[in-house]
Amino acid sequence: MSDQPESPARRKFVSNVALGVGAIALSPALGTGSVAAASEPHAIEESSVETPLGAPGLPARVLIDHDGSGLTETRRQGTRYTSAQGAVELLAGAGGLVVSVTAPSAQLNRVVLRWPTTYAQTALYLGDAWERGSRAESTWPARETVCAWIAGMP
Amino acid sequence: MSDQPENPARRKFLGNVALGVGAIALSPSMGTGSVGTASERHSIQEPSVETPLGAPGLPARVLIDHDGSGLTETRRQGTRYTSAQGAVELLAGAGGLVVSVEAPSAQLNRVVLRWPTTYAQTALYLGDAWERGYGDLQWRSLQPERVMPWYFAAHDPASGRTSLMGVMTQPSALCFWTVDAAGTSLWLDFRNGGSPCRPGDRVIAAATVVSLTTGKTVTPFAALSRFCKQLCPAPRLAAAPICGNNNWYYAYGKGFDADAMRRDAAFLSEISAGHTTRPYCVIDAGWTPGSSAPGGPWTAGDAKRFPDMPRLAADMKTLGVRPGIWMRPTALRIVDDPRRLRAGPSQGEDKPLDITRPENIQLIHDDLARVSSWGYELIKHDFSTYDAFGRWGSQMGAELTDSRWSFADQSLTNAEIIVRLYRTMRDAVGDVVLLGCNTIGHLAAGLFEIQRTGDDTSGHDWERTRRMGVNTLAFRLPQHNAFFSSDADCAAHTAATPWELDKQFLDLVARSGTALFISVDPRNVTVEQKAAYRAAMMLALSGGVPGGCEPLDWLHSTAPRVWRFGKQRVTYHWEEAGGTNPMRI
Repeated sequence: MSDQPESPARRKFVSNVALGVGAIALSPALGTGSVAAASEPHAIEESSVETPLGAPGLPARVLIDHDGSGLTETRRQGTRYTSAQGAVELLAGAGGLVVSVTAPSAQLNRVVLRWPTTYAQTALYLGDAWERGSRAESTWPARETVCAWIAGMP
Repeated sequence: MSDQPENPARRKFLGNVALGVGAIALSPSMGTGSVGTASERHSIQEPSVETPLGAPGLPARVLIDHDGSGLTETRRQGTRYTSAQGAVELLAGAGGLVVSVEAPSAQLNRVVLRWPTTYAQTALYLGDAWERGYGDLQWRSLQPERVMPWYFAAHDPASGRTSLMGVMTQPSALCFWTVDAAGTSLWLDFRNGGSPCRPGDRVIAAATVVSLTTGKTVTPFAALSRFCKQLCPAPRLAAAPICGNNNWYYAYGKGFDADAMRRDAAFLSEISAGHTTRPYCVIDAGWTPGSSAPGGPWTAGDAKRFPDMPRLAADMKTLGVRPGIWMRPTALRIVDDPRRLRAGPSQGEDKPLDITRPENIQLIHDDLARVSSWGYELIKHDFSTYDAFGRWGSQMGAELTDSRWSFADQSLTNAEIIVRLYRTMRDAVGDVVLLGCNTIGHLAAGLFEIQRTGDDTSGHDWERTRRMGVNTLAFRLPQHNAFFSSDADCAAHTAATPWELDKQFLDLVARSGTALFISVDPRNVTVEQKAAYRAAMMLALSGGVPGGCEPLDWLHSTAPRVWRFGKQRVTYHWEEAGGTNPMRI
């Protein structure tokens, strides 16, 4: 990864990982490295070769909503993104980008990771469903929709 | 046409034609002739030239459902397709393929015309909506069960061709299209409420079907724009752009009075000063007692807050703007006689009128006539589709209402009932501008000057403005000045919505030349914002950027960002910090 933690020893997330912290895996072709800290949109270029599973770069923005009142932007220090009441730690490894979240004395509602990655204008999108698919939702139309769990582009 | 009646003398439909029977027209490239009587599939091949508007061939199959028990195939004799209880007659002419239906001693539920026409595997499809769009208008790949009301376009990016099929405006059936891998179907809904209608001894001039195929030099936007103009031969267009302000998205029906509207009028007059076209200052819901969207009676304003409606209209004119007003004429807040109310679904506190009862039709006529007599020059009438059917457009799909209920007069189809309602409104107000909100555009075209084409934008959540406003502006823009003036809804701004995003939507609507209504509390407008509102209003009152407007990325997005205005190209940035908000709004 191009963007390592400034202080990897600052906090260990071993216990969080044991609790099933999620890991994000994106193909390197989806913007690892140069996309990581960029704030402007980055279009994915056409690649002639397949790119293996890997971890994405760090997102440009991490937002937290603690109490349901809305998302607020965190402050980044290396791979750690902090709000007044919590923190998001992002650790990249061979298995993907590990997302750990703490809010020791606060509520926790949502976290949003935002990459400036975009795709070809003609791309079609497919996501999964929360549980069973219904009403032909599991299709490739470019409809604005929530892609549960995964998102894919052919 | 290649397929003439086997026995043209058997039945003459001259009477139908005289009554304005519709006609179906398909491009020859879409299968006219050879497709007409074929039962096997026909794919649309790439033509070397554009094919003009024309009538389709006769469908391979015609099916009827009389009583809601299911579709049964008819028996064809020439252009006449008969069931045991009814008949469908299809007559092709220069104006299209005329569909006439009769069931003299039976019920009538649905008719389906089925062509074996299919399209390229790479084709994208776009249909219209029953009433307003709900952020759901989109070019999609083949989705066989997708209901595409009124018309659809099939665009093949590989060949650049666009094929369009549709029904002319103001049909007597609620019509939608489906396309699947084996063919194309036109579904005609003849129901009355949620039950079959009983047409009696008359022939229903059901629809006129037309089609058009354009070549690769014509963009799908230009093709659809041309097609919409052909679907509505006599739109009722205002002489000048319809623009103004509306207090809904900062007041939401609460806490305002006549003086607040005078303040709105003064602000609007100021930002439009010097323009010869005068804008409309619209009083939205809340000028009468009741809920946030109350029904009638429409005899006076709220006694304390709006004591003198004619005087308020006169004051607005004195301030230099044209007075406009909202009303919901198809529901009652105070029910004097329960027999006035329709059967079927009804959930709100305001109760829907049965719009087939003569006394209710007269009431609606008189209410609109009264409000216009007060001096209001634009009437925004709202909720009539919801009041008629008990569903929002996003809940309708293939059925606009629940099953198993009927209006009092069961002889008319739902489409006929709605068109009669719109004509009643038109007759009531003379030359007053009618703005239909929650109305059915394909039935309103030619009767209303302006039509709300999308669900509400917002003064609470920017996402609603992006999702609804941008989507409907783009995908129903081809209807602008073809059916009516298109109103994608207000460019709103409050403390709850980010100005950096709101001002982009304001800019888009103003440049587009569609109807611009701003919704902002004049007391909270900054100097920078006031300058932006003035620039936008002056541009919109002049008809937008010369040279037209086109969404350039609409084939691949529900909220186009890249637009052409004349020779200019503008990219908007609709996204919030965390990306587009996917929450329910």
